[in-house]
Amino acid sequence: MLTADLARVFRRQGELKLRAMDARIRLRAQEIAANYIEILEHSVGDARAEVLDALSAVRLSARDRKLADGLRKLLLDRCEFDADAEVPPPQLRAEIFARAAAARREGRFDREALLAQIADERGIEGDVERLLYADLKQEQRLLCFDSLDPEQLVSEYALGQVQAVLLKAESVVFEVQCADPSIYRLLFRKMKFHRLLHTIEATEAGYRIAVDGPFSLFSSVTKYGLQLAMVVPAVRACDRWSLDAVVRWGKDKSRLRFHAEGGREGELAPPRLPDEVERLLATWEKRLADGKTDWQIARTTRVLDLPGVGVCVPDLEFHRGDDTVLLEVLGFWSRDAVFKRIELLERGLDTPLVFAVPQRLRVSEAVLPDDLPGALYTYKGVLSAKAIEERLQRALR
Amino acid sequence: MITLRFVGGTLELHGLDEGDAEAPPECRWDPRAACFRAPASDYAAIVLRLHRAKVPYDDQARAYAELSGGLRVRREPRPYQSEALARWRANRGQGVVVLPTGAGKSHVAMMAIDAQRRSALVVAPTLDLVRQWYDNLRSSFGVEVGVVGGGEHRVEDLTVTTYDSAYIHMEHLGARFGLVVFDECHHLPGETYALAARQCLAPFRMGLTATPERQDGRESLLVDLIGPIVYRQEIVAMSGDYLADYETVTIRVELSPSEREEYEAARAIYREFVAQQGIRMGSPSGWTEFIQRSARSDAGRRAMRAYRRQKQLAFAAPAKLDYVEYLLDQHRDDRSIVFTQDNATCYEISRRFLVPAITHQTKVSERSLILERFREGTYRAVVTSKVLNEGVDVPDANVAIVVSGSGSVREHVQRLGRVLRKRGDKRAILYELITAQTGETFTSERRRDHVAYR
Repeated sequence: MLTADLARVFRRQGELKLRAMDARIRLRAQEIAANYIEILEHSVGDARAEVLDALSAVRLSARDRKLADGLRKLLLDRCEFDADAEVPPPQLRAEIFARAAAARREGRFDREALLAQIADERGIEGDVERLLYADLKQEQRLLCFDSLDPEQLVSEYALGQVQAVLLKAESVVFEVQCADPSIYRLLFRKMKFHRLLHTIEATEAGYRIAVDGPFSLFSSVTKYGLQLAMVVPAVRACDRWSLDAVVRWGKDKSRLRFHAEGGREGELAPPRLPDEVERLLATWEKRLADGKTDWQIARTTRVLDLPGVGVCVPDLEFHRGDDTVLLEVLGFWSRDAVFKRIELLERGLDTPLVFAVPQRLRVSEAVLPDDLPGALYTYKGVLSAKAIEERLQRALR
Repeated sequence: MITLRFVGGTLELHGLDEGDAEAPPECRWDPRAACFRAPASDYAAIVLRLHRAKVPYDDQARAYAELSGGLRVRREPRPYQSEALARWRANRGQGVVVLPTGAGKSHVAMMAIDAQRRSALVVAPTLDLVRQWYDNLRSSFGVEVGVVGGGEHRVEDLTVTTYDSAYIHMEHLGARFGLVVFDECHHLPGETYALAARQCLAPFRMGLTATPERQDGRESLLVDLIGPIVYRQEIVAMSGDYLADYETVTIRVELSPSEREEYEAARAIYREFVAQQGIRMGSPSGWTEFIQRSARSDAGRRAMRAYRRQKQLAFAAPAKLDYVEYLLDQHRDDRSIVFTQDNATCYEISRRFLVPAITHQTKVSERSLILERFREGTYRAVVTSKVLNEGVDVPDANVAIVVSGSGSVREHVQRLGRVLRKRGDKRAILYELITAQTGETFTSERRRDHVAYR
């Protein structure tokens, strides 16, 4: 990952802005990348210090320095260095230093003679001195380099810029629009995994999610920067997204605003639900057409959040008159998720919820108390429309 | 009933509604999780308050254990060690103990762990010190000791970690220990490290240092993070009693004419850039400013190279290294430690005089071997960059050769502390090699202002 100092940014009126990666810069970046990649491909076996020197020898104009350093960092992340010496250097040192100390005490210390003697005894060709510290970081050899195309590297670099800035973030507000509930789920799961806390607010077409960590309540800390940066790929998966962060930037740790956005242009494609849910949707629409049910069905992108308990992202919503019931299918989830849903219902979710759980999770439908505004449906393989309609009724009680 | 939970370095209080008058004032309502929340370090105060108000609570936060046994090896404490412990305990087991290096600070911590009998975390600034605390705790208590940091992650009832690892891991570890010891605690008030102290709920907290004062003045934060200074003993009051007498010898080394010429030329390039940019190197931000400006232009980079070169000439001038050779010969029956400012000089001395080097790159096993051989006398000299500065027990060294130094007062006292052990009847000696008429002379004079030199 790029470090914060490698972000190409500038400050303007209390705001930190990324320098644009326009076509001209991309081209320059690709040239530099191509140079670096070629050097690394030919440097396998060289000492780290030599490899770094070779990379540093690539001529750059001063304005490209930071760009080049970033590309270099990403490439060095793909390199593996290690000591390469016929005699383990610590062992060699231990012998040389002990004999040197003994010679010195006896007043007969002759550096060159001692080194020559040891080289002779151990059958070392050439320079013993070189081997003395062959395991030092600077002396380690490049064992392998995982190469890639310059264009690929430059794209990786461009995407890495936002994350590099967020490493210094105190808090972030994401605005996301997404037609696919599974992406929301992934996003919330990521935030939970990284032990971040959030507050959610619905916007016209999506959600505004303010994110920071437990300690942020007391003081603004950049401690959660890495975790916040780790959430970015999940946010990027949304159809449309933007983020507004407060970062502490530079040596003086100035508090600056930072904005980034992205996503797909134009009309959003309809979401793709898991196969079993798509099949249910198709069956249900046919039942509606045949007059077998009076429950309307629709995809939903609602996110239900109960602070302190958790988040629930249903797949479908059902309407009949004024009644609405949501359905969440817990296809690949754990049993814990089931009990979390029950807790959500107990703590007062505002909309009745049916959740479908595969039988392999071995949860009995009886675990859900009768008086809660919800229902549990354990299914095997196929979601039965009839069984679900029965649960919708039950959830309405 | 109120339930206390430890979550990510904070304390959550469940079972109260927003605005509930029963909520302790240390807490704040957190709408994100619909509960009250406090920094973990307020645990002791909150529990005490709930207890006094006779409010029933279920404590699911505290995850520390009582130790099954105490010290296995009991050493008669020195009077000031007993007094330091008594003062710390009188302040409900919260506070900073200030003792000079070599006076047995860590033994005070051992006695504290023994007295409180709670699982304990020791936080130390370097991996070397972590290693030393590890050895010390293991042999003193005869139990397995955990290490977090330097590629290891093993948590036990007694665990040692670095400040860096504490900052990263305290949100998981913070409830696991009833006592936390901050070694060389003058490091703690930095913005990030301070967070580690706040994310730890240990009711008992001890800070150890020889020099609590910081150049940025943030030492006042220690009161919040650990507790007040409960005991303080200066170096002057101690020398003669428990520490060896020592003398200091300053040696001014002249540069050769060609070195002098190169030095002046490099210095001129650097000075010119600094003057041109209007950087005041004497001001607190001067150095940072120089680094930032120098990275932005070719002239700047040239100035940085020139700066490094003149520094290098001042620190490791050939004449100076020749003198090191002379001293190593003079003291070939003693135990000498050579201190250098940077790793490059350290390795240069190691290669040139074939003496073992210890730097932050030295692996734990090799470092142990070097110190072991130094102790038994196979090696008579060791060269080290800054890593041996702080509180690492170097056995029986009686000669110190400071080849260069940054002039920070704290650093120098700690370096001195390392050699304050006489050998037989011989007084300990500290040599300071400075290059005549270079910027370094000033550094050396600044050092002398400290109490250790009076």
